[in-house]
Amino acid sequence: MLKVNISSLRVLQMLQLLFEKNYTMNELMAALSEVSGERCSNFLISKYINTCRFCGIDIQKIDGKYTLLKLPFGIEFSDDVLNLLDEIRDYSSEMRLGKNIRAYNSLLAKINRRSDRYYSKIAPPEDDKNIQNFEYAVENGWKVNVTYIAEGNSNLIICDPLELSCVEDTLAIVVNYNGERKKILYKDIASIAVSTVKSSGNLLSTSVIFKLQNALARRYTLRPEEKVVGINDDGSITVLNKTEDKQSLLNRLLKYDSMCEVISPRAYKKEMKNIIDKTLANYGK
Amino acid sequence: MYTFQTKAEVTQISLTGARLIVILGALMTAPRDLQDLNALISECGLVDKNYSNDTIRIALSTLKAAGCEISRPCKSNDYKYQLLSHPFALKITDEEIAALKTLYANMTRGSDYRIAVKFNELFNTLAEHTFDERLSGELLGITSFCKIEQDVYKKILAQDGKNNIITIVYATPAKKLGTKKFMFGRIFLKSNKLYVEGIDTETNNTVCYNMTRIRQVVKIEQGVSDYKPVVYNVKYLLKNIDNHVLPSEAKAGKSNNNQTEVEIEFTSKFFAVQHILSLGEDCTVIEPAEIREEVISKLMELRKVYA
Repeated sequence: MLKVNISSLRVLQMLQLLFEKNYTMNELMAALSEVSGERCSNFLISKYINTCRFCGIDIQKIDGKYTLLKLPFGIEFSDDVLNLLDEIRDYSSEMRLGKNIRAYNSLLAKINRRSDRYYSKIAPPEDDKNIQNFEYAVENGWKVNVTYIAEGNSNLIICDPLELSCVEDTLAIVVNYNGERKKILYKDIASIAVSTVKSSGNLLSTSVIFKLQNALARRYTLRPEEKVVGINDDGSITVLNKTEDKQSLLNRLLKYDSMCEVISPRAYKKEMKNIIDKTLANYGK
Repeated sequence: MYTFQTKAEVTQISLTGARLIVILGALMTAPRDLQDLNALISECGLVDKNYSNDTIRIALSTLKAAGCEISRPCKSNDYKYQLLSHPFALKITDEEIAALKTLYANMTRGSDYRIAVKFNELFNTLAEHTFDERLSGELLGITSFCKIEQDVYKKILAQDGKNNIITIVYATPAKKLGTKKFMFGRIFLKSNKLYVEGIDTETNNTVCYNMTRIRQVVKIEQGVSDYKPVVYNVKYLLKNIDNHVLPSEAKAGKSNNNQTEVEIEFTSKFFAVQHILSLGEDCTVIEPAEIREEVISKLMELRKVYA
């Protein structure tokens, strides 16, 4: 059995609690009592907080809660990285990436508690109703009714919501509509309402198989949504892509010229042929 | 490291608790032996006398009881205690990593490579403070820069803004090693890979090297002239411009009948042709003839594939 010092163990246990979240005095007393298995009084908690403060750990009472603000032996971030944290916060906020803002804020809160410098700039949470509806439908598996404007006309589609995405500096929603991934720019959306119909998610999206020739096969980096389904004797590989939207995928595969061939589905193959013929027609060929 | 308050400023503290925090902080920064730890406690002015080794060992046991993993001192680690993991480490969730991936992908698309380098530094720092191999691997894998030899990464990044002549050992995709000598031009990010561009000193052609494939920087010599790469000033007509994502350096000109004249400078013929092909039927190259012919030739080959 290890010989330990109980008083100093409690200081560390309290510190550990404050690393996870902010506590009121009562909450901290209850939490530390539960962790330690013995009653911790207000007096003891104050003593432990004073001990931490004495060692340069900045614990302040903010909105009635004890908050860990700086750890002298914490993570050292360079100025470049601290500036980047600001840039990321501004970007995620500006792009209204709802779920990502929440996840990034949660990470920033953890970083704040472990940094050797003060850093507590959190982005405001997204309050846009359409984004909230979209994310709610994704998380809970409902279809969405999306009304958007295309070529001056208003369209209503009932589709499976997949994710929020960015196209250059514009927010877009990605949905599964009639078995194909479709991106709709957020600026074109009039409303997003949660449907009462359960979503079939990504299950109906098209699986596209394409082959990459030798030289490209060696240097190709698979996307997160892709996997190699065949390695052929001639050095070429066969890749399965399940989630990229049709137009972006075909445009991307076109740039690999004759080193890439769409194998299936037949409709994609036919469309690729059409694009090539029409493009050559631009040059009178 | 510490900014201790004077004891008069605080009414009630736990001296043993303060001693433990000092030891924890010391071990978080480097492995230490008993003498180091004792000296640090004395330096902090916590007590006027030295502690016995047994007292320090009790403090170390207390750290273990709090969830710290500390190695035993032995000859191989110079008889030092090393903190292998601790319960205060960053616990990053899969959702947070997914958010970082999305934000990285969006913020670096079409941007200066320097922002990706800053992201890489952030991911490295976070990975260093996460005692979880899987999460650490996920973080380091976001940029893919961990596949670049660290010495190469540092040396090439340090060349930015200089026109030095660099000799490298480069592995082709077929894994053949060769020596390349070029005048450094610029670094850029494409498809989440860092490339270095320059002018080959023998052929005077513009060359691009994927930094992941540079095995070694053999020599760096002072350049004697300015970097003047071959530039392809590509002009094309683009239909439905709103449906396409163009590089930030693209200049859109006059529009007529849903067709816009676009002008972009490329230093690589390969990337110019790739860009044009990716625009599909909406794009028709006007000039230069060299690029126009190359695009037609690639499309003719493609037509044979789908014949």
